[in-house]
Amino acid sequence: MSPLLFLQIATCAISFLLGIFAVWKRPHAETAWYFCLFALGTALWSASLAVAMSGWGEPTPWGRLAISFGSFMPAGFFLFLSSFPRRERGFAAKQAAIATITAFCFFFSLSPLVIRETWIVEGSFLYVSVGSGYLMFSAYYLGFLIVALTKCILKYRAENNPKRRDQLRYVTLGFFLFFVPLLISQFILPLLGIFRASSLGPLFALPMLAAITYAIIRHELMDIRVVIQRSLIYSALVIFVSAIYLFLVLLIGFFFKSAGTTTAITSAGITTILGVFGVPIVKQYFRKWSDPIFFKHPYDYAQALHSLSSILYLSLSRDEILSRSSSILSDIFKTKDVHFVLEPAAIDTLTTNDQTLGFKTLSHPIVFEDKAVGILTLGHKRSEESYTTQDLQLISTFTFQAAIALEKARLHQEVHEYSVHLEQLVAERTGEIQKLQEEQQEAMIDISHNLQTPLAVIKGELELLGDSVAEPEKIRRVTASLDRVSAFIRQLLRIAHLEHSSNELEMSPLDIAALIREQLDYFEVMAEDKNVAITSTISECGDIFANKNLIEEVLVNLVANAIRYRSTLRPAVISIALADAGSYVEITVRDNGVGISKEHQAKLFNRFYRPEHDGTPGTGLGLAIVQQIISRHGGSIHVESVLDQGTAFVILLPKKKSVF
Amino acid sequence: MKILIIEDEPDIARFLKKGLEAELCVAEIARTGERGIALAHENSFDAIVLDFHLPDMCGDEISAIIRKRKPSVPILVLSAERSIDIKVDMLGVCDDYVTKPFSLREITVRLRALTRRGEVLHGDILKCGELMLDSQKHTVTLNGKPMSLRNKEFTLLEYFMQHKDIVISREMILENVWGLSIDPFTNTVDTHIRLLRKKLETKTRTFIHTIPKRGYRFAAE
Repeated sequence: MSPLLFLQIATCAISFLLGIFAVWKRPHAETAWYFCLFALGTALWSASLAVAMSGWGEPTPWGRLAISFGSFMPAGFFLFLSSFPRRERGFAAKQAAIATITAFCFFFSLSPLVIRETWIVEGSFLYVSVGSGYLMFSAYYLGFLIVALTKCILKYRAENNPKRRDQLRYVTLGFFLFFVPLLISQFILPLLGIFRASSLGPLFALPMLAAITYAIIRHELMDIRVVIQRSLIYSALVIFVSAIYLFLVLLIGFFFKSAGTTTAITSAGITTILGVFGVPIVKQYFRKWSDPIFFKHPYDYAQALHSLSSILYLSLSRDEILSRSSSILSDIFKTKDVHFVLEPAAIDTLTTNDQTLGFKTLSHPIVFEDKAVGILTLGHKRSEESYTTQDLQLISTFTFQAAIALEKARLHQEVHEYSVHLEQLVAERTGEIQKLQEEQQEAMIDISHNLQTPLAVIKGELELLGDSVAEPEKIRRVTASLDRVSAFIRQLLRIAHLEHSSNELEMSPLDIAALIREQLDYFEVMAEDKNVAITSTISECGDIFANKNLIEEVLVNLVANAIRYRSTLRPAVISIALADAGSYVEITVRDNGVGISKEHQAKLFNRFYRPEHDGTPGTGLGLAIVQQIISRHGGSIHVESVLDQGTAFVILLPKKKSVF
Repeated sequence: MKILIIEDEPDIARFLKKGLEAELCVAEIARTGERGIALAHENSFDAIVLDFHLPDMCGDEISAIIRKRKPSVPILVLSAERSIDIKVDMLGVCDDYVTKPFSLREITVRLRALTRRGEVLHGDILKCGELMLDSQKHTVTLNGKPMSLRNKEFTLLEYFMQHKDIVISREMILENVWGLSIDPFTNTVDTHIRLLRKKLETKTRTFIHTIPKRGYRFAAE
């Protein structure tokens, strides 16, 4: 194989890999795709030339194809520069124009008008006989490249971002190194009739690719640095293994004078064994060797401090602080080993070298309130550089902040655990109280059942005595007392039932205005009987969701109370009002009766509570039942009263929720 | 009237029997649900008084078994509970119920009302001599003249007209007309009957008769 052919193949492979990697690494970036187009154009140009040189088939068509593929290069490069670092205005139009021109040139170059004939001279050099169209093709090619170069320079001058400037500088440099030899070898010399250098065309693209690659490595152009490093390592490994194989084949052939299958198999076997054991070591070596090239670059101190501080500020858990800052530190110092040791026992056994510079590793204590709470250790940098004063400053500032952040996280965790514990305790206690309440209610139900039977017996026996005794009035009084005891027990049972939340109330939509109107009739009759006037103001409020019987019971109870506690000093008036209160309805039963003092108001809804010197009969459970009914409906009741002036009970009940 | 008392509490069973016999009824006692069912099947009773909480069986079970053989026999349940929900449950399996402690008179009034249930009238138009009530149109006429009644007065009159010539207790009226088990005003029934009487009655014609210690009776003629 001639060295020229080998170079062509190498150029093709490098260009191809570089183009594909760019796209693979950043498939969503436009620039990556245009860079790929440029690289693939170069690769295919080299490939076609390599085929033509190798003498495989007729050289003329391959020569023409090489020129055709070459027309992708300026197009790709132009588009790359039009979209890098950011898209230019009118990009879509440019894109369309370039696609048309390129397609035309591609097919045009395949015709004999551009290249009449190609032949091989001296085994490897290609000689080309150009046609009249070659000048036109050259004009297209050169035109594009000149515009692209100008663009490159203008962009470099206009760019403010230092990183972008660096990137553009290397791209321009590479382009220049590509452009000048290309101009000479491909256009000036062929026009002068010298074709010896024409097949070197793609090789001139190598400096350009090298420059862009350098821009990628040093200035993070398109962020494919790691991918390139890996691909270079693996390519080197392949070359390494192939070299061993070829060497073995030659060696065995030389010593044993035997060639053929046996040699190949033996060499392959030895290569495999060497490959299995040798490749990891060689890979490690390549990596060590290439890391300083790829990862040796200074970090921006302010930027690094900002990223670290924001993590410490935003993270609330210890694990989050450690994992996120480890990853950032590893990125800043380009080291794989970032360790935090936070166990107090382990801290004592570690030594720190925070005062000694020039070491390849760095340890720094994390101190909170004069007490070491942990140690941060950083391993070897991938570039194998020593840690600098600036690194130590950064780590020192970081550990100081980290100590505070870790303490904050610890306190946060403590508060969190405490609140979880508290919630558990509350849940336990609530459960106990609920259980006690249920037991109490069940006991009350049992007591009621067991009391009513003996009462029934006594009442029955008294009734049988009836008129036969001398003073039937006494019997009647005892019977009345029995009835009161019985009523009291029944009320207790009612309350127990209502409080038992497992006893579901039968609820349905209820037109509260209609219900009150219906009951008014009844109230008027009862009030009239006691010379009490009833007035009402009923607004339409729509439906509530309620148990009709229970709401009726509430109204009857309140009106009966109002009549019972009427004042003898003035004509008694009771007013009943229903008003819309947003998502609630408001029912007010107001009287001008004897009123309730402030101290009594507070206890009014308590069970068994009866105002002192209350001569009226009652169990002291009526209002407790009313309140229980209202609360089971999700509503509320309160009292407004002034002694000797009157009382108002105000009930709020939720409206039925709309189904929509 | 022949009554079966199914009640495990001996004292209650005894005074019930005594009380009913004083009302000229014949009463027989069963101490368990099983015995009660057997007696009910073997004999013909006019009504059954059933305690809802028996040690061997539940009241609704007993009631269902008896009803299978004797679908028409009225059953009055005795219960310690008194709430509207329970009342609805009870009336699903029996004809009426009273809560403990009950009065003997209440029991007898209800039993008589139950045994005369055949005469209870239902329908849109109820007539009683010159008085006519249309439930559908919600109107009442006396001698052809329309009368103005309040809602509760109307329902009360309707209940009376449906139970003509039967003595009905205040408790029965309160339960059926007002849906209340306890009267918070203490005189709801009496007050409304007084008003109704004022509107209906003249010196010569009395519809509602007061039966001392028992209740009221609506006289057809």
